[in-house]
Amino acid sequence: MKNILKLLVISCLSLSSCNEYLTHDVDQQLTFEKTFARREQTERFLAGVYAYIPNDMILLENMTGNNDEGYFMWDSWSVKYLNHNSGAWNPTSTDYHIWDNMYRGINQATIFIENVDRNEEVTEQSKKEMKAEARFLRAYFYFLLIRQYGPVYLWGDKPSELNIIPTEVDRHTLDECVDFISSELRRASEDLPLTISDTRWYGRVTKGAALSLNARVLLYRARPLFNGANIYKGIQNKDGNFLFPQQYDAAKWADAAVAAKAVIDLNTYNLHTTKKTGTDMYKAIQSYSEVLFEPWNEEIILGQWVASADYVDRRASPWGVVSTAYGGFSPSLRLVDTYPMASSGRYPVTGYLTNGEPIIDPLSGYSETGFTENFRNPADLTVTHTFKAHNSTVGREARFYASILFNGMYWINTFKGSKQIFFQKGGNAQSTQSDYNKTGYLFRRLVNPANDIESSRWGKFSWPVIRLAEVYLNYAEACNEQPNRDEANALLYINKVRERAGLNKIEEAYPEIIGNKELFRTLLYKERMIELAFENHRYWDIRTWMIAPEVSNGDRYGRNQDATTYENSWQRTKHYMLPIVFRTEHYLFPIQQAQLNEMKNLTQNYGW
Amino acid sequence: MVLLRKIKGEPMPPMYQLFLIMKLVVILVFLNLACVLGRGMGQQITLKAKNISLVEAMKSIKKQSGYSYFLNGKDLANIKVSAFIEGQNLTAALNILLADKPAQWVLENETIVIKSKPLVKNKDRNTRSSFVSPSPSTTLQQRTISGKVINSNGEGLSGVNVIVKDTPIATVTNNEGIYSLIVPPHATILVFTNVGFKAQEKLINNQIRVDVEMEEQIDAIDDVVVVGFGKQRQISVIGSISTVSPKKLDLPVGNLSTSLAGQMAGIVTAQRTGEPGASSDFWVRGVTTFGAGNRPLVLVDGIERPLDLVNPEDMESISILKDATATAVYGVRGANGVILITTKQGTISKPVVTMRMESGILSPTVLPKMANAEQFLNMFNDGYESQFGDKFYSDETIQKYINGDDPDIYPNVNWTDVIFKENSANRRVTTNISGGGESIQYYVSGAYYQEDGIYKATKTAKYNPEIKWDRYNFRANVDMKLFKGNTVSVNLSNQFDIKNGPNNNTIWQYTFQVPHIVSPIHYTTGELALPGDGGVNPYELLNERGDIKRFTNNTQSLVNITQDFSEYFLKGLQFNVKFSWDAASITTNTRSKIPMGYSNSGRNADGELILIPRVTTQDYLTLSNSNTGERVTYLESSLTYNTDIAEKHRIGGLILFNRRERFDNFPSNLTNSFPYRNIGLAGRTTYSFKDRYFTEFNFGYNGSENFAPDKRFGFFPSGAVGYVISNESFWEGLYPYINIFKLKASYGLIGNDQIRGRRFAYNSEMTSSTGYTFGQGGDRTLTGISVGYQGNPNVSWETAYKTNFGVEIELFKSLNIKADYFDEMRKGIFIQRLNVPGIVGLTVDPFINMGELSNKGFEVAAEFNKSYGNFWLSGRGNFTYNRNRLVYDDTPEPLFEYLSTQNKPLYQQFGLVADGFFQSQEEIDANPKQMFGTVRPGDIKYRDINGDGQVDNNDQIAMGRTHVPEISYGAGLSMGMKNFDVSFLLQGVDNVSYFMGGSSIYGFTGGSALTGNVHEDVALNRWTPENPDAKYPRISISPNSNNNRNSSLRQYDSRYLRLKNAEIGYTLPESISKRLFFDKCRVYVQGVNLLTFSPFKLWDPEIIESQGAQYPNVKTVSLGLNMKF
Repeated sequence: MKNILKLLVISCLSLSSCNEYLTHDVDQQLTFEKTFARREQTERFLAGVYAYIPNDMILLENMTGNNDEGYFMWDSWSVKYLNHNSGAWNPTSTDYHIWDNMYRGINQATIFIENVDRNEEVTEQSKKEMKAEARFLRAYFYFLLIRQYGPVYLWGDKPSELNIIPTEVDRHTLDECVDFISSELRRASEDLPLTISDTRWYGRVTKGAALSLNARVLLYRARPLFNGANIYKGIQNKDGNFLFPQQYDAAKWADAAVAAKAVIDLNTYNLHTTKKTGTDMYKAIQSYSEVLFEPWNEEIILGQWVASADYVDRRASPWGVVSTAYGGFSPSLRLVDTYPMASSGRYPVTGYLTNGEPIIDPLSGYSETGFTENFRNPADLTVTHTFKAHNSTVGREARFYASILFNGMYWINTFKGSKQIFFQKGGNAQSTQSDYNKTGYLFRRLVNPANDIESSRWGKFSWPVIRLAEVYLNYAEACNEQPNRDEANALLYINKVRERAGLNKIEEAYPEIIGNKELFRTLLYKERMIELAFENHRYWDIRTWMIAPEVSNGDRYGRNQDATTYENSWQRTKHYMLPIVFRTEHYLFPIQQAQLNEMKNLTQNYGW
Repeated sequence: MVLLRKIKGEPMPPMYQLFLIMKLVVILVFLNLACVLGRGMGQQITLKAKNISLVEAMKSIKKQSGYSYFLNGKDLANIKVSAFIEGQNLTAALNILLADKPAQWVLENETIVIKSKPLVKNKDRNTRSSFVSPSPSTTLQQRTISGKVINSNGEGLSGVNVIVKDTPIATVTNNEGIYSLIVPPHATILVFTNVGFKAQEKLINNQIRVDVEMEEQIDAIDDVVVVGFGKQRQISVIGSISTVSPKKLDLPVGNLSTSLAGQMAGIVTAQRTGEPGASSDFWVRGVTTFGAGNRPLVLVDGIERPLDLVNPEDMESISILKDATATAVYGVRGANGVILITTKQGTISKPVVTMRMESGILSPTVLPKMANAEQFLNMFNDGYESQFGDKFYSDETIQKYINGDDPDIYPNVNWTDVIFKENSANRRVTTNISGGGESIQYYVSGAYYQEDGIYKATKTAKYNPEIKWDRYNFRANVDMKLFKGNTVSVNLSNQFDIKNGPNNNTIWQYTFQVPHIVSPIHYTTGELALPGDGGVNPYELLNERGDIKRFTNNTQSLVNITQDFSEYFLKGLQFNVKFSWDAASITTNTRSKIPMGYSNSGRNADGELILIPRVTTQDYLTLSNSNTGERVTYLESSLTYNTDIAEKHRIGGLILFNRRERFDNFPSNLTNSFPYRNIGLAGRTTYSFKDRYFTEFNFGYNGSENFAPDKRFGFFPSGAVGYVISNESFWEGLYPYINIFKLKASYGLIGNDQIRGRRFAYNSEMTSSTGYTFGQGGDRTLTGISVGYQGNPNVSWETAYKTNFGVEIELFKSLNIKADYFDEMRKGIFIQRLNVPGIVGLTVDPFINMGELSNKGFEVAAEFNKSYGNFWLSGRGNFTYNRNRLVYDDTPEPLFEYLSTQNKPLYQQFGLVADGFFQSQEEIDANPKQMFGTVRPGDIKYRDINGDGQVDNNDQIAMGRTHVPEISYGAGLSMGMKNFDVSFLLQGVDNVSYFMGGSSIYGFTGGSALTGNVHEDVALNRWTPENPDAKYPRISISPNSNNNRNSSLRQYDSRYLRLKNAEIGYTLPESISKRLFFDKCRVYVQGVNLLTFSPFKLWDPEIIESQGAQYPNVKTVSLGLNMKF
């Protein structure tokens, strides 16, 4: 009986304090209050907002292969890339969509702006700067949305509401969006530091970054797509407001010019030039290359640290020759054709015949036929390999040799010995199956020759999200287009970019350019294409300029890598090249079906 | 025992000695356990007792004689005996004791075995005439009634209670079965009761003599059903419960879950892989929620434990509790049904050893057949030509691959043959010993199971990539009686398994996807071959990448104390406390390497192979290691009370408290490091009247840590009623035909607190998010912090509303039918809100109790048992149908009504409607534009459902079924004649479908041509201009977004019917087995999954894998030996 009583006592005890038993001390975790009470946690929250900045290097695969600057060799996988190129996408496709993620970034930024003032460990000055950084980031995320979808819904400065009534949501107008972004950026620029003095914080947003982004945003607004384009006229949101401007307003170019000039006037940045010695050509090549490879060089306005460049290194180096390579990041033949000739400074190809043959500018000095024996790659000073080069690759300007790996060239990362590359059939860099290099080129600019990538030393980037050359070209473009055309500055700033590449002044190469707004525009488009190649600008540029139907539509051409001899591999061919499809609705992405389902009254873009 | 004999100095026959030694050796070797019972030395028996049970008497004799005893037949134990024995020897004492009892005895192997006497039909019944019939009296007065109570053999039954109904007047029959008692004037009925017999009521009328023949209640013990927290008599069960004899589940397979298919009504199973050691999925009455955890609760000896850790041999009973009443006392844990297993306990007997040895051969039910080199090359060429206008491989090249003259450059390897064996083997040894004395009984068992895989692996001294699974089970169940009414049970169990396998989980996929022409295994020069450009050599994946060893160790311990207070203060009151502590750990050691291998770029001028070495190699093994584990403690205490009033009113009650705590030993984050806790209070009351009317009320009161303090506790009541019409007196006429007719109904609420991937749903959490790198050298990476899940303080219980109607019928005492209709409505299922617009920018969507799912169906089970002389036959069948319907899941309303997943079965499949293939460009141009990519002749033509002139994802409609079968059924037959027995079980599912997909169906999607091989069926039956009425569309060499979609063309019906199990056994005649010193010895051949019938042929239909690239289910044929001694 005693035992029985004992058991009863034990079991009765076990019945007590049920609620306590179920209460865990979850407050010991990191809470919202704790996050904004301590300096370190607050900084990490801000880092979490920074992390929404998309990685442009990954975006290369997304967007570069989907327009006229690249042709990626993967014809049999990477379905989203193929679908995008062939036009097989629609509102229900989920590829490349950034909508949800950007709004998450926007939400977190707003939470940060609302709450950073609670922190008593951080100085008022720091808080002001951090708040401005979050403001910049939020504006940047909105900009990325607009670039892709056109105008979107704006939360403005207020926090997002969980219980928003979805049927009452529609997009704001483009002007409302741009005005908000621009005013936010100007507001941020007032509080942001001019430079980051503490080297441990390199990579944070500065005044220059905010002003530069503002310049880009206003330039986009002035470009044809967002400035009274016919296809977007008449589209009204549910409140009856026109989503896009109803007519062209040239004054927007002037705003863009003023914004770009504001960056230039900071006098903080310079186009990067190398400290290495050598021929002028070699120095020009190095200067351009180092924009990517010299961390935090004086040209970078906003850099994004990339701890390992393996993603691009593998894709931009030749398969079969470089052991760690996948190959595949090929520049398009159109891009290769665009690089100017070193001596004349002229862009060699002025257009194409319907059969894909180039119309060659005879004044340029470019030759499409024949070979030059014993050619030496001007980028290759250390090892003196010579080879038989096709004449199209001879006498081009510095950025060509910095960027393009062409058939027959030597691979200049020589850690694992010297390697000559042959892409044609039977060549050492030609895969046996359908996924082989089809243009005959790779974009070698992304692979630092100083890195032993075959030993997995991939190198690091302070990837230029924004750099000064872009601002110069933005300014030149705006000066050329603004109602009160500022030709002097337009020429001055395009020439600064050309000069770094070792080229003459554009008015020397093209005396007829003086007073010719259209010619300037044509050449600026070319200059921008090569200077900013593979930096995730071209896809958006050809859309906002509305030239995509001409340049990024229809058959694509490459050098014939199906040829069995090196000599024959230089023929132009569209054989084995998949065409690219651009339809009018492709100027902007569709609003995804998922969003339309959520918000029944959301207005869809033209054509979708 | 051997030792004792020796001390006594009695001579033993040499064979006998040998046999006893053998026994001991077996025991020691296999189990490393010995248990010797103490035993008295006295030869003289003294026993003076009246009306004690035979068991009691035998206990005493055992004590005095030292001989164990064994009562062969449960009813024997309750025979009442009286004896006056003083100083007799054993033989005399037993003869006196069993004189005129329906029993005889024999000394066998040191054990007194008492058996029923053989039936003597024509026994002289003249005893009746010895009574003098008193003259009848018609006056109502107190009178004496006497009579004799006999059993069916005409023998007098002693110890029978004779009660005057509705009075306290009672007596007991004497040794001859004769009674006599004085009854009051108004008495009308005498009630005769005795354990083991059916109670009888007799009208007195004017008689002064009432003789009764008692009918034995043979099934009295078998008819007890294990229910939640106890047992109930079969007749009183009004919840919905299925049971099956555990023997039926003892198949030669690795896991118990695999044996469940087709065995019981209400259970739905699916074996998704046949890999050694893999479990099957199982549900009770289908999938009832789309929230977290739709699996039933499995309780082993009352403790939540994994089903597959139970050794089928150890099972005493298995029950499936299905409706609200049956599961109510388990509260929240039982919302998806409960599987109750009890393990065997020892009995009072000499040690009985049972052994079973089994050895089987396994082979895949279906091994997919892939396209050969020629088929592949033609397919590739056709695809290439349609894209680029010319052929990639010339006829000459194709010929080189086919004739195999240069296997280095033109390889032709059938990977299926290289990687898989035709069959493999399994073996099993189990043994158990049970027995015990009055105060301690034990059941100890051990089992070893081993199964090999079908990989044709090369074992090296360094490592072994073979698939091999070894499992050891151990169990010791010991019951101790400390004092009157008290039982302390200690159940200890341990499972230990080792799984070995190759360090690669893509072997299946690549064996199927790698074309035969991609690479040789080795070059003729001996080097390991690799295809360049990201291709793979499946041989290398299997044999050269290292191995994975996974060790699993489970320790399960339970102490269970029961105290019956009947003898102390209240009859029928019982207290029980259980405490269990279980621990599980899994360690995975992965040893990996990457061997040197070479791709080639043809031959040089001298004809030598130009080999390109693999760049990243690691020719030595490295180790990586991962651990998971958990520990669980469980405490339960309960008080039960059962009584009956005058045999009419049976009243039962249960009140129970439990608490469970689980720790994750390797928590992945802080939240998971908090113990997982459940707490609950449950109760049950039952009342029945005259075994005709039954009612039951249950409740669970549960607390959950997942909810805010004020939402934490939930009360879930349920109730049931039952009516056994066949026990009504008016049924008597029907009784010979319909022995049992029972109607039952139940309704109740059950709660569920599990939320997928979320604990403490009320609590807001900050999360670690992607970080960002700052600093000149990128040396300052800050991990991000984000506002993560935003707590919802209103989250509370998900509730199941369960209704069940059932009927139970027994016909002709041989056919038993149970049928149930069920209707369950789940409300408040935890869902993450899906229609919060993306613009709100939440990182984790909030949880809310909004989901609703309805599940309805019925199930029927029938069982048939009959014997005709030497021949016996038993059959069983079951059928389960359930259809669920997703009522609400918060998905945004789609553009078109028919796209909605709501009001359709959960997991409803959607696809485009295929209308054959486009045969020409004109046909393409004439049809609605298909928006999935460029369309060419040979591509699938889809129907424009919404008529908007284009075919896109909005044209998908609900088609086919889901991957969880709606119909499951099984039917089995067992029969025996003399020493032979045969049985088989058919099992099948229906209303189930799946979509084919993936590169071995589509061709060339996942990568380049290097992994583009397809099933032979696809290669042979694809569209070509010459084969316009094909089964599959054309093959294109780049991904074909038009064809590679879910559509009616890609959906297949995965119903099947299997011969799940078949067995032939032969039991050695006793005369032979005795000579071999076994009590029983049976040899058998048993097969699992012997035949599979299905409309789908490409791979095993039960495997849910879109291209069949999964370890297939296996069929097994085993030879076994079962011994008892």
